Amino acid sequence: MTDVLGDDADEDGYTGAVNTAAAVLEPSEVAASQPAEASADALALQPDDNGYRGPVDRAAQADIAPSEMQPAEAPDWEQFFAEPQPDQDSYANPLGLDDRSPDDWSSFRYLNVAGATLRPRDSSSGWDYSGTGCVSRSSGSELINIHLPIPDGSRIDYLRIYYYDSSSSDSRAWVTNYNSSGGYTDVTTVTSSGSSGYGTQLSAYPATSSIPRRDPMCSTGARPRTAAACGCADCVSPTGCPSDAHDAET
Amino acid sequence: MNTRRRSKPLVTLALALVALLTLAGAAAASGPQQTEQAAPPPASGDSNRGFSFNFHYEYVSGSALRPRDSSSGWDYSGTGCVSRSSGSELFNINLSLPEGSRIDYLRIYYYDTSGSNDSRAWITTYNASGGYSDITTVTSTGSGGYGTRLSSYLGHIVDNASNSYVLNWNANQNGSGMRLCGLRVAYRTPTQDLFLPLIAKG
Repeated sequence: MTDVLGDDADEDGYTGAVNTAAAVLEPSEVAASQPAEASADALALQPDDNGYRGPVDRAAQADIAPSEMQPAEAPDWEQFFAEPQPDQDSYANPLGLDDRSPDDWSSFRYLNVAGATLRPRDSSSGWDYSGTGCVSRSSGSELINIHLPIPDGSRIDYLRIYYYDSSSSDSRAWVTNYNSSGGYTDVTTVTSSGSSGYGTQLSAYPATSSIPRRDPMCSTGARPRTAAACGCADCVSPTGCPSDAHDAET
Repeated sequence: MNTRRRSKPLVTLALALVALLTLAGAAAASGPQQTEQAAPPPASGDSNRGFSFNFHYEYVSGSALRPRDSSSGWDYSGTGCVSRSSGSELFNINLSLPEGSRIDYLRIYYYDTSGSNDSRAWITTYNASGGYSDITTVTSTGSGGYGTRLSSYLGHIVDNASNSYVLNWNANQNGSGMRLCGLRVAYRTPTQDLFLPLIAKG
C-alpha cells in the first residue's frame, strides 16, 4: 500500500479542504452517571492550579503509607554499573556519532518503564506482580507489552532490560514498530542472561535507529515463568522525533 | 617621638577603613534591600526559579489503570472511573514525565461511598539502587460520592535515568462503592536562566 504524504488533513503539506465536525460524534458512553456540579469552594484555585497565589507548605511530607512492603531481597542494579556503559553519556567510545554530526543529537534521554506496568497482549495469559516493580507471566504464552511514547524524529540507540532470571532459559525484549500497512519491524532486541537472579543487559547499537516517520510501536516481554521483567529503559537522543505508535514487548 | 610618628599612619588607616565601611553600608542599604522590600509576600510562585511559571499536567483517567496481577478483576464504572471487582491487588500505570521536571502535586479524583474505607494513590519510583520509593501519596475521603483531594507539596526532580515512575492505586475494598476516576500530576518543566552581558557606559 502506497501512502502519499500531504494528501490527508493530518499530514504536513496538506492544502485541501478540512472537514469540521458539526457536533460531538457518537458518544463513547451514555452520560447518565455524571458527577454532580462542583460547589463554589471546589472551584476555588488550589495549590496545583495555575494562578494560585496562596501559601504553600513546602515542608517535607510526613511518613508515607507504603504501597508495598520492602522485600528482603531487593535488586541492586548499581552493582552492574561499575564502569560507564554505552548507554551512558560518560562512556568513552560512544557509537552513532561517526555517521551523523554529534551536534545534531542531544545527550541521552531515557524512557524508563517499570516491568509491572506491562500487560499481556491478549487475555489468554495471566500475570503476577513480583514485587519492586517486576512482573512475571503466570499462565498462557502471550508476549507482554506497553506503548512506548518517543518524540518524533528521535534516534533510539539502546534498549536495556532489568530482570530477575533464575531459569535455564532467557527472556527477551524488543522495541517493535507496527506500521499501518499490516507489517512490523523489530528495531532492537535484548535478552536476559544466566540464572542467578537479578541482572541487566544492554542491546547492541541498532543498525537502523531512527524512528520511521510512519507507523511504529515497541515491545518488551518475559517468556519463562521464572523470569520477571523488572523494567526496560530506552535511550533516545532527540532533537525532534516521529509521532507514531511504538510498543515495547517482552 | 618614634611612637607618635608610627601611630599617625595607623590612625589614618583606621579612619579610612571606617569611611569605606560606612560607604559600603550606605550603598548596600540603597540597593538590594530596597528590592527585597518591594518583593511580593511569600506565595506559591516563590521557589520556582529554574522551572516553568505554569504547571504542566499529566492527567490519567482511572479507567486506564489495571491490576498489577491477573488475580484481581476490575469493572468500568462509567465516566472514566474504575473499581476493583475481585482480588486485592493494586492498580497501576506507567508515568512518563520530561527529564528534569519537578513533580509538585498528585491529585486524586474519586467516587467513594464507603463509610469504613478510603482508597489511596501513590507515585512510586522503582530505582537503580534497589527496591522502590513511594514519593507521594493521597487518599480519598468521606463517603459522599464524587470528590477530589490533593497531596502535600512534593518538589521531586524527575530522573529517568535512574528511576521508573508509576502511578499506583489501592481501592482498599472491592465493588463500585470505591472508584478511581482520575489521577493528575502537576509538574513544572525545567527552564534555563539567561543572563545578558553587562554593558557599562564610560
